[in-house]
Amino acid sequence: MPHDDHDHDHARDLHDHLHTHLPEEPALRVKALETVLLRKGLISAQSIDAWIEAYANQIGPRRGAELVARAWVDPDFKARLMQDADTVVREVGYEGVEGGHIRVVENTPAVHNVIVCTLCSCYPWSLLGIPPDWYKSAAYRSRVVREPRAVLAEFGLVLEEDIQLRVWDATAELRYLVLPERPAGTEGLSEAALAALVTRNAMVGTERVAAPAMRG
Amino acid sequence: MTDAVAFQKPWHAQVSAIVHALTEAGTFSAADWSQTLGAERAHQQDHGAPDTADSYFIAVLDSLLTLLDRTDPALAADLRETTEAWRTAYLTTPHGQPVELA
Repeated sequence: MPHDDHDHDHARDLHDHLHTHLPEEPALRVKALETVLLRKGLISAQSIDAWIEAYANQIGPRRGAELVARAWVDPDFKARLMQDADTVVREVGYEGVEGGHIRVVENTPAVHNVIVCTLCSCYPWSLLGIPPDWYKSAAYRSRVVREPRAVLAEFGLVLEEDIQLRVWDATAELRYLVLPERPAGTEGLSEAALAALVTRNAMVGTERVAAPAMRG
Repeated sequence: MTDAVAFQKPWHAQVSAIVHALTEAGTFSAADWSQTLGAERAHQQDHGAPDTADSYFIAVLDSLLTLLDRTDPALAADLRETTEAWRTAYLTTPHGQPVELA
């Protein structure tokens, strides 16, 4: 009833007015850990804030998309990227703090690649930004190895039976980036326009890059 | 399965940033991190933890504590004390005022 709703709202407002909300337990523990590490000089507040700002708001999959678009328009660059991604990534200044190697795997009409980390959540952070929650889920990590076609179908990617499917298991030492196929009908597009078509999921291998007319 | 939000909750971002800062500082290696987090996720799964973002980041927090405990066993007690200090600060600070440690 409206009267009850009003009373409820009023009670909630009063509660909010009187008390500062206690964060949920893990949030409180993280806050305490940050306090302790700051006190010990193991981290700095500036570096924490700068990382969150960069990864939550700026990096995203843009860097990976730039590399893909350039590989699509520049065969020499693509050859170097396929042969020695570490050097290329270092040259453009996109290496991360995780260390280890980057390997680029190319999708073709005959082969489709998808990446996973079955152990934890190894991922090319510096190229793709924050890994999505599904990439870190136990369901994806176990199922994409056992039944990759079924998992990809759930992402809306139904692969033809004659396409070979390769699942790459990332580790701390070796992380993967999928070079998706360039969609048909994009011949006239600039490198920047092509990069804008490339999605994070396409570089993980859970979708294809759609041509502009097909994008919803 | 699309998800535009980078982090569902601020503490997910905070704990991820701490992992990266400590990796960058060389407090532990990326390989150590991967092994520890993998073991923690397996432990969680064995104990029926839900397959959610919260579970993942709780595993990240617990893995951090495991690695830090190797080099600084006193940290656990320090952390417990600091957690309680923050809890008290939240419970005793009137709404609208900044929450600070005493």
